Amino acid sequence: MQQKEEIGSLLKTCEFAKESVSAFLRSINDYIAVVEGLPAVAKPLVRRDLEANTGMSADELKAFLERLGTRYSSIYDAAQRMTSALANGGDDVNVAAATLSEVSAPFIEGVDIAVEQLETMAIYMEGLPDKINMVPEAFLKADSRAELISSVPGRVERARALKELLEKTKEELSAVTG
Amino acid sequence: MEDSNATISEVLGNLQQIFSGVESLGKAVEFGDKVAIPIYQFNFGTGGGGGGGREGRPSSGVGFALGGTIGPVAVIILTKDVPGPQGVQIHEFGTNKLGEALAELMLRLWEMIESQIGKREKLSSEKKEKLMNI
Repeated sequence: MQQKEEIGSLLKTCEFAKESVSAFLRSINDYIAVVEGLPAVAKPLVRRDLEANTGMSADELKAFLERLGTRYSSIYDAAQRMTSALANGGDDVNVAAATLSEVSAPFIEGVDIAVEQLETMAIYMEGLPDKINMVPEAFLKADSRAELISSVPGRVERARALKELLEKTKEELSAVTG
Repeated sequence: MEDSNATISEVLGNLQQIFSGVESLGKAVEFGDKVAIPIYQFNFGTGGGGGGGREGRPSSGVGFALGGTIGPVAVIILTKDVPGPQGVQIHEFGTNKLGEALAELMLRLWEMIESQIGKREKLSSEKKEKLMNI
């Protein structure tokens, strides 16, 4: 009974996480578009600044989020199979549990780094408006500056929201798979 | 007529030789521990011509024009605390490389801003690999 509740909770967290990953991914795509629209002089600067401060380029961040979304889908599918197996009983439960452990292994292995990375991203984004305001007008025009700054706040919240969901998923997976 | 044209051509040729390709250092710009010194190049161009009237209606005339352009060709970046050649970087502005050179200048400026705000630790390749395989 307890295991069914734990699986149910994991499924809900996976659903929220998939939405959260998609929302964050959309916001990163928007960021990439804003940066692409910057003057030629400012573009490489903003790209390299993100990479220098977070260790990841926008494209790498995008690839990571896509990968994370796929991983959540795999965990969700495996958790659903386990729900069915628990309802039916028999040997299927062990097989489903083994599948869930298998598909969640890369997640467990990388989740702490991902949590750390999302916090790094949130801190970077928080400090970005001040940094952008320090760039002289000659290099970054007012409209580009305003566009870049206005796109920041939503990303800080999304990064932190996803970070919390990753931590929750890790706890729930540990409870389910032992 | 031919003599006067030849003399003008000679004078202009000499002037062109004197002024073309002259390079000059611009005003140094300091930012943080870096100093940027732009290099400008002057180009001097001339043109001239002359002609005589039709047969039976003698007349003649000569004309010439000169002009010059000035533009940045490179920038020298000196790092104050780095002695010797290691502290000197030269970025040439080839016609299509102006943006790259300006971007490089911007990056130097950004590094100065960074040093005031404080940089974050870099992500190791091992950690990055785990993230990409999550």
